[in-house]
Amino acid sequence: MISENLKGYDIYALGDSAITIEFGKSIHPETNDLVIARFKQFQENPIKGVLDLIPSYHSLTLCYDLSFVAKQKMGLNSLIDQVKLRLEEPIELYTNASKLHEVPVVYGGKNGSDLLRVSQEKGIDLNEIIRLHAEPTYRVYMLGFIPGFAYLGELDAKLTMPRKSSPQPMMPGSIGIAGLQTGIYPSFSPGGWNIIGHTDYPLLTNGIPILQAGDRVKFIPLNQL
Amino acid sequence: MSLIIHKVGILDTIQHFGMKGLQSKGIRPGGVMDQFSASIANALVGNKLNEDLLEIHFPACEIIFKKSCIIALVGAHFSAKLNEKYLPLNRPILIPTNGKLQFVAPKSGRIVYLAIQGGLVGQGRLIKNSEIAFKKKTKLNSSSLHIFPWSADVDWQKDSPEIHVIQGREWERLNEESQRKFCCKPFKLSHHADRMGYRLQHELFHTRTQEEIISSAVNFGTIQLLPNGQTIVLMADHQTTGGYPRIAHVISADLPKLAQKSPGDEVVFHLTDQETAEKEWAVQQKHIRQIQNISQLKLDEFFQKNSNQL
Repeated sequence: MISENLKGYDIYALGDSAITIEFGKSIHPETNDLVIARFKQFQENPIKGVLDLIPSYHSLTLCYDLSFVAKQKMGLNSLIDQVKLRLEEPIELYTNASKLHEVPVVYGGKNGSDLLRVSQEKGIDLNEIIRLHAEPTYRVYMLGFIPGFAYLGELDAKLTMPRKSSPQPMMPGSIGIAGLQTGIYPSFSPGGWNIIGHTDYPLLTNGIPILQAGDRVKFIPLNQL
Repeated sequence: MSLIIHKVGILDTIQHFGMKGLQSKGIRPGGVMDQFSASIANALVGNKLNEDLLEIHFPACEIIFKKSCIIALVGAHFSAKLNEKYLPLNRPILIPTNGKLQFVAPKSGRIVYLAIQGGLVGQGRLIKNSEIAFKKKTKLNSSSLHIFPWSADVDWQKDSPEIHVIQGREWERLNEESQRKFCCKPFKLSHHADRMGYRLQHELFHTRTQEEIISSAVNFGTIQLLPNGQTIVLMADHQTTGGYPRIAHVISADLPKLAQKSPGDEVVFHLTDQETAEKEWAVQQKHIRQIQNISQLKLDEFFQKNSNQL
């Protein structure tokens, strides 16, 4: 595996047709700013052979054309050298207009079926969970997993839960928590997060995601338990 | 100039070769499961290698060709029949006008590709009674079936259980015993296997740490370790990011072989490196291009000789 520490970031192979640049080890707004800035840089000035970019919380993945890379004299190393040169270039941190989305939530019940279990496992009162979850203004760190699934952070550490041991079917609008993350499932899909509530907030228009990386989200509780 | 879906299959689609550039919005690239077979099918009918084509699973669709055309079937052996006559794989076939194509019994493999000379209009799931237009007009008007006398060599990609993988970012999370088991022990493909991912059956794997990881990109072929100790290989319709440990990645050259495995089939993982992965891919691509070149020559030759009769 290729993994090189380089001025605070690692580059590692994600299989034989993608590499990931990791800019930090934790979920942090500044790290994410850097990810989005570098994403824009590679998007505006593409490297030959790179076909797709996937920004995440703390990393940026470059998917490349394996046929093109395999033809280079140094193979993948030729591409990595170019990426390293790009990363030497100074970058202006990406500042989003930071749109705020107010998302109404019904907590618990049939469409928030894991809330009770979370309460039992964490030993926290149901309404206190609602308060802890709805209190922060979250940042959209990235979109991923499925079209328009926004990863929001950072969840109060008191609510940290492991993912479910096996993915289960999810309804559109399901609000889940996992680790220090919270998120909203925009469409039917399998998922492993603990579902604590549900929203009718529109997340896709004609299949195109409404939320963008860098946006902010505030949950508005519609009920008490 | 079209074909009609007379009966729908369970999972049949008009497939492309993967959408690029939208993964930053969480939009998956999708595309054909077995790029090797799909490319060969296109090569045999004289198409560009990444032309849109039909991806057919079993139980498969039934098709009526409203107009004579040249097709090729590559991949799984589903006992294809045209008006009661069995059709071979890996050959160009001239379909007569109003020919009816059926797939009667699965013999081997999981997915068969049907390429049509010139390509098809549209993408997505097949619908009953829907009409799918040919992209290009064809002058062919044959009333009888003709099977061309040459075939593509797909044998070198033998049906072995060996699948090569590259270590993933979270490989070290597996404890030593699980690492040993992962390499070289045969696993069976579970029934939970679709275009999104293939789950594997094996003794549960154990990790050195239960620490959650931060969600990050995944890839076609990424092998994720689920919290219950099972594993899943992400396939063509994989999500763009995920939060399960990525213990390994199937090399691109072996994805077609894996895609053709059915539930119950065995796979054995072997660790390899990037250099080998690049080489294997280059060899495979070269093989496809050679078939493409020869096919084109043969087709041209055939049409020159037979231009009066077709």
